Amino acid sequence: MSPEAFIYSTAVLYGISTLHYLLYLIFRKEKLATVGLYSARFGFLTNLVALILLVVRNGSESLFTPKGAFLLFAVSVVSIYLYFSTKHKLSLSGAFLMPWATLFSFVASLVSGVPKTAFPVGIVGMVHIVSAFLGYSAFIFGALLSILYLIFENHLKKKKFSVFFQKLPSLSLIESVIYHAVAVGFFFITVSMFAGAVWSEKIFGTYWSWHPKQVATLISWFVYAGIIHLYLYGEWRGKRFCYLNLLGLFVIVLNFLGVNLLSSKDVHSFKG
Amino acid sequence: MGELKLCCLGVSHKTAPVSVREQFSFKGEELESALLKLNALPSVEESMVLSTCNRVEIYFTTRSETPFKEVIDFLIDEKGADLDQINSHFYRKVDRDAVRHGFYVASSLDSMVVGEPQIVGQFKDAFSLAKELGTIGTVLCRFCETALKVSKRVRTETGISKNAVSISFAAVELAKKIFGELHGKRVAIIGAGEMAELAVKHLMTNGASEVFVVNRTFERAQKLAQEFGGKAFPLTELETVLKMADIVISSTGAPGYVLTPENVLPALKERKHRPMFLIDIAVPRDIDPALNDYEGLYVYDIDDLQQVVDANIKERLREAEVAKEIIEGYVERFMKWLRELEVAPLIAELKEKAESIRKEVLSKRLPKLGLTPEQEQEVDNITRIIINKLLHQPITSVKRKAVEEEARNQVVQIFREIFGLGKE
Repeated sequence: MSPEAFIYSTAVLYGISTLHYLLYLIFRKEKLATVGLYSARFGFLTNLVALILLVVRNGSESLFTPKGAFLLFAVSVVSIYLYFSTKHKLSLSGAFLMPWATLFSFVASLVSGVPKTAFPVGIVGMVHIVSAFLGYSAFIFGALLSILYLIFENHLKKKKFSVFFQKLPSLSLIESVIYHAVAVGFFFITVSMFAGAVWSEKIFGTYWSWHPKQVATLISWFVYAGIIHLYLYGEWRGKRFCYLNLLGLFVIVLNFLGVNLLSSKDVHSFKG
Repeated sequence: MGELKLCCLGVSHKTAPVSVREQFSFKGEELESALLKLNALPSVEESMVLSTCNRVEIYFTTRSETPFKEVIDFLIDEKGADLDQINSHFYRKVDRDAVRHGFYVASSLDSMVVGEPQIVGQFKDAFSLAKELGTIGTVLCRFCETALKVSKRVRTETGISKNAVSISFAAVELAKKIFGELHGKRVAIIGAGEMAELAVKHLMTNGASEVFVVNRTFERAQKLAQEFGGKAFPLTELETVLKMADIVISSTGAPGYVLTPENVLPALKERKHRPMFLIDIAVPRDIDPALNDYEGLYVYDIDDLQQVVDANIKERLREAEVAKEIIEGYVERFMKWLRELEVAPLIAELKEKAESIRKEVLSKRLPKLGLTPEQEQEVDNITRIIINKLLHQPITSVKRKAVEEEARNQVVQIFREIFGLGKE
């Protein structure tokens, strides 16, 4: 079975979800958020099926093709979102996250999913890439929630009775969800780094080679270790914690862009 | 005899001032005797009275062509009112409108403060009194049960009664927006006042753990502290209290600011910048508004709280629209049931008639055939099946037609004539 049909339905379902969440932002009707949530859930399932079918058809190397990477990115962003938002009634964050998932799945439908070269991926390689995407998705979600927090805090202070004021549960809850997202992200990134090192040893015979991607990831890892430390022991709470998360997002984006520019011949460029 | 109608004759805060409402209200003993008298009216079949401070409504079923006449006469007799008064203040609703109105009332959509929960209890009381006195039967019983079911669904599925619509509850809601759970949070009340004390009570019931009472006169502080089970402090120890409190409610009669950057900022620093919620219920204000500009301080004065309330009322009205959609489905189903109920005796009569014909014919003819008991049983079954199959179509058709608004009466009439049923 071809993954294409599932990719299209994923893009459509995520699109429907995005639309309803945006309408929810305007009209504030809970029904809209419910539709948004269920289409995101169904989209998540088709997304997962599409990814599995792609791997079955083109091999695990296809995770390193543009199609595979975008599908994986979409599925991990949505899984992080579904995990945290349904647990804490943060439907509002869907309006900020689902557009990205829609974009990723849409791009995935356009780009190639055929690996150009065959290289051994194995279980270790799979763990490496999946946990990397999950980790970055959790960081991105934490940064998005930080933006929500800052808006919410501002409206609470300025007495602006906006949709954020009405629909978000509480500052302290959002803060603790951000922290959890960052902790989850940090866990996955750590796993990903170890798996990456082991995998590197298998292919190149060395755990560490000062490759730009390795260096950039190590920097991100230290940045997030610092953020968690400041939160737990340095009393960097509330707005300051949110600013730290935005800084973290900035570092991750640099990491992505930088690696794409610097190591264009590497598996990390996702060119297949 | 006409068809059964469910009617509502009522007056509410929307149509009449309190002076009129109180004139028509029924309380205690009076309500019971009124209900019994009402039910004794020749045209009224079932009846119930909902009498609260915001509304007096009589729900009843009747087959009269002038459904409201007797009930209005009764009101005039009972309350010494004149017809003009009733004509100008009372609304009369029949069938679908009456059912819808009743569901709106029970779901608190028609209340003065939309979504307030008291009306559900009052509706239940009216229902159980009518049940106790035996003034309601199948129709109104089902009506009340459905109304209560609808009300519960509206409450759980819409945000109609979620947001605070009083100043003191708005304070609790805001505290939750800042702190999340209020468990373990400490509240300080400076001065005294009804609204401030009410807010403290609400905060306590929502989980706040400790109360500090500060007052210029220490005795008053002690008295209030005793009431809340908290600790009393003289005004001189204000700074100590500020260091411990997460939520401060100020309501003193002081002419100037009681909380200023001078005494709040050191406390904030001591708290390691954990947020503080400052509520100013005093006029003139107690809390320097400039404090709101500091990180971690949220200052709300009485106007801000009123704004929260206003925004929440708007939100409730929005949710009421959702509730109306839910209710419409129930109105539709109830009316369908009511119409089908009307033809139920007709259908029963038809079945009875068919059965008696069957029995008559069988008892005459069957013995002549000289069949074995098994064969006789088989013939009995066959004739039953024929009758069931034959009657199935007319019965479902008349049920369906009975629900339709137009031509309902003709269809029922024709049905009667064709099958020779129910001589009226």
